[in-house]
Amino acid sequence: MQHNDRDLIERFRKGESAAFDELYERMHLRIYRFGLRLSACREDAEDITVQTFSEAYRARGSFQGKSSLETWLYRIAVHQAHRIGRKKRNERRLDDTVVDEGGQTGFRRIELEQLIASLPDRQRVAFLLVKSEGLSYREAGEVMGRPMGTVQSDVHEASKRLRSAMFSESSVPDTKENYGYEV
Amino acid sequence: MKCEQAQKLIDASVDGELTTPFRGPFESHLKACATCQTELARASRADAISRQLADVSAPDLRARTFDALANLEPSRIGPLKEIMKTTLGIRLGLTTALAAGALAIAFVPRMASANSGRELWAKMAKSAASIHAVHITNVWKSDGKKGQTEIWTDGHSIRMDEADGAIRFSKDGKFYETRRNPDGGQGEAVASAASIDPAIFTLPVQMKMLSAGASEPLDFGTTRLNGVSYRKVGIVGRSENERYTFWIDPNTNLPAKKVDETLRNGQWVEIGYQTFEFLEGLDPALFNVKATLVSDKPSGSGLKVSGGG
Repeated sequence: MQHNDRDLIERFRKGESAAFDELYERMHLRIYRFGLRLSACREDAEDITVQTFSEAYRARGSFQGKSSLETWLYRIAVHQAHRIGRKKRNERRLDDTVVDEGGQTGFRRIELEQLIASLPDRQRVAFLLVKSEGLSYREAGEVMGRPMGTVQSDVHEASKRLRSAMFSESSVPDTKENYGYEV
Repeated sequence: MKCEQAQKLIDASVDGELTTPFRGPFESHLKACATCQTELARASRADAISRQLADVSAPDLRARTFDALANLEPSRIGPLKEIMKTTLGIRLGLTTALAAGALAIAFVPRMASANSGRELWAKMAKSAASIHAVHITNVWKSDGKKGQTEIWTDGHSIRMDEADGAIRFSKDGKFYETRRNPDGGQGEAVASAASIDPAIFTLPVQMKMLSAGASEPLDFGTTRLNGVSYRKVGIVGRSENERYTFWIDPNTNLPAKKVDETLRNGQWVEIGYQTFEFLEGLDPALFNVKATLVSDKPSGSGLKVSGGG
């Protein structure tokens, strides 16, 4: 969503339902996915998605176009995830239905989901924005309201922790069978 | 470049985010260092695995989203920012007289049951606690002078601009204080910004401060302005000679305004007011103000501040 979306932004700010529908169509999967990874819970991910889009519509007049609609929506999603997550802070556990999502047999996916869920909040947000959502460090910084250097540091710390756990001896051994090639 | 520094750059390299000044030294180091080569290979593998997380399907939540929108009644309430512009007619820079006039028209205390007041307060506190992003404009009058502070917070960062007095903010879990820039005049606000711990700063400053004094909130009835009926709930302030009245939007249960009064010669006199705008999409540039901590002391420390955001 860049300069060629100015028309959409303008129509969205005016409250045109068609513009909102278009925005929803473009972004709902990404927001849901992000909410799912943040919360590790399908029900929370649905709440995050619904609340993100309804809040975006409510606050559409405050969107000044200095950032992209995309990063603005992620920013709202982070707020909503915090809001919803606060209620369940002591109940955080991985929703079993999440790890089987999509039927992927990707390498150690279950372990990876668990590891991500165990990251500190800020590192988890930075990591998911970059690795899962494909945002640049600058864009992730816009979402989080933090400098690029902080995002870089958070992604590095999160990645280091995940690498350490993924490739540690206590985990599944690094073998050709696991990776598909020699390690 | 040493291994320690190179390893901090490995993930930026994998993510394609290595900046030019570091690229050359990083690659030179890598050629000569087997340890870092191994770590880079592991990082690349982990990255490939992590990016598989994108494979997810989403349920269709359109109906639920529109239900939520319908409950908000957007056509009626709109963003609170717009309400503040069009309904209350109070904006930064407007004269005190205009604000006082609006208050005089609207402020007709009608005492209702205390129980109703408590319910209103509970609803407002609950709604306010669920929203991190808020812009508060605080206007006060003292000894014939008028001061103004503006606060923005998005749950991660806070920024305060003020025209007089002291300002406080939290950073790394400790509170810091700074004083008015002696070179800054009225309207030439000191600006400061800092990262905050959301666990400490989950409520807007004023809401958190006042919640302790909300032992017996009173229902002051309703004020209707431009088609919107604001419920009003009053609480006793830090002393019995002070009271605060919040105007609560009936659709969102969020406070739109708070009026501060003090008891003088048996009469309640307005000494200031605050307006609230609850916004989820605060511009990150708001917090791009450089503040240099010049003391390690957790309180009473000074700050050198530059930039205006």
